[in-house]
Amino acid sequence: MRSIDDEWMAMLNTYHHFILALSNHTAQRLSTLAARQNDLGPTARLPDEILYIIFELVVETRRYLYPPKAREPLRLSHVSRRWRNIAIHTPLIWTMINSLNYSLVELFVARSQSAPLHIQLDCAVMYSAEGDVDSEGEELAPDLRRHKFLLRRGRDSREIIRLLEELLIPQIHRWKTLQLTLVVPDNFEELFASPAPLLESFRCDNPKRSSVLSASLSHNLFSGHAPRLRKLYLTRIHLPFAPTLYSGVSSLEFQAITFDLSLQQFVRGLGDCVSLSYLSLGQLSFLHESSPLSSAPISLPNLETFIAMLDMDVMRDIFASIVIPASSSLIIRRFEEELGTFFAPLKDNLLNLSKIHSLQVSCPGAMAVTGRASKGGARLLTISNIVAEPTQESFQGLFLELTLVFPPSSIDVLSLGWVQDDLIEPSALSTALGLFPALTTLVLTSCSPKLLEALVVCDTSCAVPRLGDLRLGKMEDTADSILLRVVRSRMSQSEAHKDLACLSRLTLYRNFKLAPETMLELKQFDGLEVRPR
Amino acid sequence: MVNLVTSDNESFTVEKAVASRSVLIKNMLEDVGESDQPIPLPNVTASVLKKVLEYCDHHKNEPMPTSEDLAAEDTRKRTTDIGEWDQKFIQVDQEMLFEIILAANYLDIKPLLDVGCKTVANMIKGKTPEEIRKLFNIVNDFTPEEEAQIKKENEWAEDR
Repeated sequence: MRSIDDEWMAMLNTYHHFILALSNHTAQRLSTLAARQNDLGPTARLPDEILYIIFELVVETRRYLYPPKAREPLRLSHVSRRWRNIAIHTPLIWTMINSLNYSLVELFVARSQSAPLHIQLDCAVMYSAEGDVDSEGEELAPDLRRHKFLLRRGRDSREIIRLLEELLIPQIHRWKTLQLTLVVPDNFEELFASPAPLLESFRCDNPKRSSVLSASLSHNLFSGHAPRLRKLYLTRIHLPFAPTLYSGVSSLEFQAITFDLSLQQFVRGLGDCVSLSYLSLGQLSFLHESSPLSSAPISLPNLETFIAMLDMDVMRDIFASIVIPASSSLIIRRFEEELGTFFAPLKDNLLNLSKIHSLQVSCPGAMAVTGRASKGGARLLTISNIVAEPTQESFQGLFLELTLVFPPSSIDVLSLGWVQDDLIEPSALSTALGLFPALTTLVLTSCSPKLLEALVVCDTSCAVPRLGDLRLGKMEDTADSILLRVVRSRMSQSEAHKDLACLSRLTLYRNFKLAPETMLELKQFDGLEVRPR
Repeated sequence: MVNLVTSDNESFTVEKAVASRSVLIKNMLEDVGESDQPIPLPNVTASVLKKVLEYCDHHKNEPMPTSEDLAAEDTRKRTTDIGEWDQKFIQVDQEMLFEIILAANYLDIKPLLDVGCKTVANMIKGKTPEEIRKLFNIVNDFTPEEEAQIKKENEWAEDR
């Protein structure tokens, strides 16, 4: 009986092997036939070197739009055997490493051969206290959701360290950009002890908040050798100032860092960054008390943009310690001081404030002010989002304060936007505008009938006498009659206002509602160019 | 004027400035000097050359890309933006698009090659392998072993 069973099993095995061999052979034959069919297809005519270029364009250009998924080069290599062969031999498309999957990172490291690497490894950061569904779509109570998020963040961070240690540090000589978001471990700085000769950009975000001192990297990072480092962005982690690393940096960002320094030491450190053109400082604090500022302000001669989002005291001291070049742009975000004391400290501390290329100040929910003084061109001032707190008095006060900062005679373009309708009376605006006698262009991006009314010239009122160019945006209410009055009053000679300039250009943006007959009437005015946009 | 003869034996007489957008023709003209001899272009048909010359004529007054421009590879790669006129010009069927790319490559007209490659890259971007196959009439010719490897790679990519 046993021998029959054995014989039966042996026969089954033989059949099984035969079927497997046949099926493999058929699959191979089918694959060969399909490859031959592809040889006759349209893309077969494109030589490999053209497909190399196309593949690089597909992957490279997506990098700058948004972080490309690791799938992009994979997709190209999953189309056909020829495409796979070309893709695998195009190292540049495998240089963006942004997956936490070990095998995939290993694959990308190998296929990128010796090309410079762009590394972006981020732990989970998407925790939201809102709703009851977590990032993976699971319904959980808020506490559990937060717990799960923290576990994942920790796990991701450990995985990033493992990827760095085992796969990426050995390639440090070809890192070009490095972006990390991870909970920084104690031995973090030991990881980066080797030189990074190609590294141009290093961004590190430590999402774990610390109540005392921010985590710190060693000043011996990259053995002090990253000669091409130009961009350094650090959040909740600090890299001590060291001339060898900072001297070539042109873009520097410090966010949410508590320094084991005094503000003066910090500013002196900034002074070593001789190539800085972009500086962004947000939520910084210093454990050491500053002595009264005595030394001369440091010079950052190449600075083009300075973004500050700081406590008032820190901001005042930093502004007092740095000479901001006249050609730079200064952006102050989330300025939470009272409007009344807004400009005085800036003016006292910033020697070049009235000369700088642009100033933009934004206060949460209140207002944004932008001023630009282009060399030889129009000097523009933009005031927008005046929606909440300001009263009629403070609105006029704001204009007065602005004249202290920007020489009124230098502003010839004023842009006003989102001014609440019931905020001001025409007479108040007229008075406010009168503070800028050189205005020739007025842009009302979202104006109310009252604002427009303020521009009607009458015997007792003539706001913006040199107005030649009026540009109007969104207006909810019917503005036809008021607009016609404005234009009529500014297109005719006035006995009371002999210096009144003639309106020469009227631009109506797309969302400015106007009846066709009004448009026809506007076009009747000689010398007035009406431009619907 | 320069006389160009295509693979299907059609002659095109064009301004030297237009023909010289092709580095190949420019070099030929420089090598041969002033001559009435027609220049044979055995790899280009008349219908394609007509299109290529339309491009060269439109861009004839633009400066030729310098070696520095060509060295600045990053600039080319960073954007697949195509100018308005070029976009309209390159709105052709797929066969003609590939012919233009091949002709630009052969005639060494770098900016036209860029426009063609960028157009194909834009067609590919964001598409799945199956969609790309459908777009270019490619069939899946992977062996079972390769399919298994691809499946693994997809699983890795889905991971995190």
